[in-house]
Amino acid sequence: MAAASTSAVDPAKKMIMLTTSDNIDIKVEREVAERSILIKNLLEDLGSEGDEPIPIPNVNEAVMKKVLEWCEQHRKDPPATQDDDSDSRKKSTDIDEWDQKFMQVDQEMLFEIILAANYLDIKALLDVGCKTVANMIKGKSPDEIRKTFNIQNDFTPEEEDQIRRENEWAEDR
Amino acid sequence: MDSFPSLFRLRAGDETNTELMKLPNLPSDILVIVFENLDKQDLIQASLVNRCFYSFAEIFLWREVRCSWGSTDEGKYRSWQTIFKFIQAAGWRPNLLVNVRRLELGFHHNSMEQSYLFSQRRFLPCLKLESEQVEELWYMYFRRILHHYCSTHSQVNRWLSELKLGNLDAYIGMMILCCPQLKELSISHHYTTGSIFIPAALELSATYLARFRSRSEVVSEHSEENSKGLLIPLGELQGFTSIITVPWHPESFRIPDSLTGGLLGALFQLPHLSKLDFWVDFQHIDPPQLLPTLKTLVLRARSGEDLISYSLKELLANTPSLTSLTMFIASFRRRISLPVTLKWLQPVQKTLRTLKFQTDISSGTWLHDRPFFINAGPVPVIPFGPGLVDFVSLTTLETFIPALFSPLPRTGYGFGYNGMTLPPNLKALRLSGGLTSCDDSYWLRPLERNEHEELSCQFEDMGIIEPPRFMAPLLDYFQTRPTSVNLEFVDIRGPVNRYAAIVANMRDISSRGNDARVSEKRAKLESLLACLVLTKPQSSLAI
Repeated sequence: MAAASTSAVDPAKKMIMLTTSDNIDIKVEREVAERSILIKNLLEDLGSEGDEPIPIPNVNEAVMKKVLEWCEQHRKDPPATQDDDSDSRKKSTDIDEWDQKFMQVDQEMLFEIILAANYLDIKALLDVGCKTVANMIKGKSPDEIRKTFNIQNDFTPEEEDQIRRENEWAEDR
Repeated sequence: MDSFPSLFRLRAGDETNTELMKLPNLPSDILVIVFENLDKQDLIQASLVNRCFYSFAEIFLWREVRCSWGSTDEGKYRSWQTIFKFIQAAGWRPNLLVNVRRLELGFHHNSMEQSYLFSQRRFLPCLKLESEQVEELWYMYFRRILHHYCSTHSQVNRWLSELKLGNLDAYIGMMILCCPQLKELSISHHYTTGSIFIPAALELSATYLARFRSRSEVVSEHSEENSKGLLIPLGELQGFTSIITVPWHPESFRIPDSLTGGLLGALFQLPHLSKLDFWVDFQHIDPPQLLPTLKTLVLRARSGEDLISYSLKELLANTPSLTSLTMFIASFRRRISLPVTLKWLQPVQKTLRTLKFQTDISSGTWLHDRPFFINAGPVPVIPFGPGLVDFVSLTTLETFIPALFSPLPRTGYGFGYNGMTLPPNLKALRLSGGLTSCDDSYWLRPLERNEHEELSCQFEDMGIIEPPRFMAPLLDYFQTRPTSVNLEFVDIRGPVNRYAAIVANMRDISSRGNDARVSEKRAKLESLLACLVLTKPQSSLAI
């Protein structure tokens, strides 16, 4: 991505403008914004000028700023490898320290970031977000999970019993 | 952009909709990623949260069905019980079988003779579903599946009547047919031995698949039938293992015919098979021709002789994409000649990335027999021989020490002698077993010549009594080596006080170095050696 450019203005450093859903313009370096495959493709489609603001109708300012903060931090990350299939995606819920801190936000914001990452096509951020949610589920009882996410139990006691019996084979060691 | 969930559009400027921002309301492709990151225990808990959680948790819970426990009597019984529970659950929720990617049925057994428990479990106790009605639905489901694959009614009826009798074999075969997305199948030999329905299921699948393919080739490549992919049985099956754990006296046991005969025949008709794990015993039947799709192959033999008498070269001639080969040798009393073996691996020497020679010494008898006792002293040995360097793609090499040696007399070269070179791209070397017996550390010499920047070496010593004598030269070598080599010791056992002597010796050695890098290494080394002495013998030590 970091094109070895010899021209006077490094295109990666060029500023572009994004317009969020609440009509706020945000200026950002092209290289940072291009962590988003959606924006990258849009920029390519629009030609290399990129002078006009790019509308991002599904993400508001607060979330966009947060997402760009992440992109800034990860601007030099190598692009995700395409060849490994979903099975090889490790179950490891290790999240690097910076990302962990970054994800310490309220649930509302966490879900907004995940949705924005999904929309903007930033796979690594989507993964980190989903892993953060997975970590919030890990090691908890069903009741604790419900409390964590403010979810109602919609099972009858009989159904619960049936699920327990169904899952007996999977109980282990 | 249209695919973006409507909930987000709803949210824009709509403050009353905060209710929507709950986890279960996230789009399903996002929830899939969340649940993908959970392990079995968490999935079990999550399935009880609510209906939404249940539907996602079950998908991932059923991806991997493992019904194997330890080799204790209790473990054996539990394995069998787990299989029973799994079949029962499949009765309640047959549609969940669609999610199964990996199916592991079996328990590890020490001996072929100890199957008294199994012999009484050929039949399942009456499967109690909550009502006869549900039971009837289940059989209807099975009937539908069977009709899908079977050409004759009598075959269907026979299978169904065996199911109604509770025939475990019929159920296992049925489970295979019901898991169209199965990618890896692993069955203990207790279930494959004498099995009628497992090979039958595999064969039905293969036949159906062949029929399906020839038909869709005629129609067109992108025919709509492709979208019905879920109905193709085992089209995706990529791996097959039938576990036989090594009996105490490998010479006296016979590999079940079902493993070498019909079962393999059926397996080889499956077009995607890329991983195969099977026992070599083709004294009586012709070896099958391996599939060109194979990438990973595990060959198991009772003894080195079995493996050698069996023409590896012929076997491997048809496997151009093989990247990983493991040879498991149960008994080491009759030795395997590795230089010869390497020669026979010629067809795959350019593609092979992983080569492993393994044995099983978990059984106590091995120690008493001291099969690993080797006298590597003045007797010239040819460990590996010179052929290894031709394996240009090899990155991982694993072997147990006795396999390194071929006691061929009076030749001067071996692992470490006369220009013996490691494969040029080797990244990981793992040596295990019998390290104590090595008086000499000459097998370290290829490492010294080796110019690879990042080679990681692992040494595992299984059940030895004394600290390995080679440790001092090994660590010495580590000190003087210009490039970085990772050394790791796994499961080094022995009386702690014996290590103390080595450590004292080591301090002596490490004081020899004097440049900055060496002293840095020395500091690290000292702290690690201190660990080695202080921690329990089974610790692992990484330098």
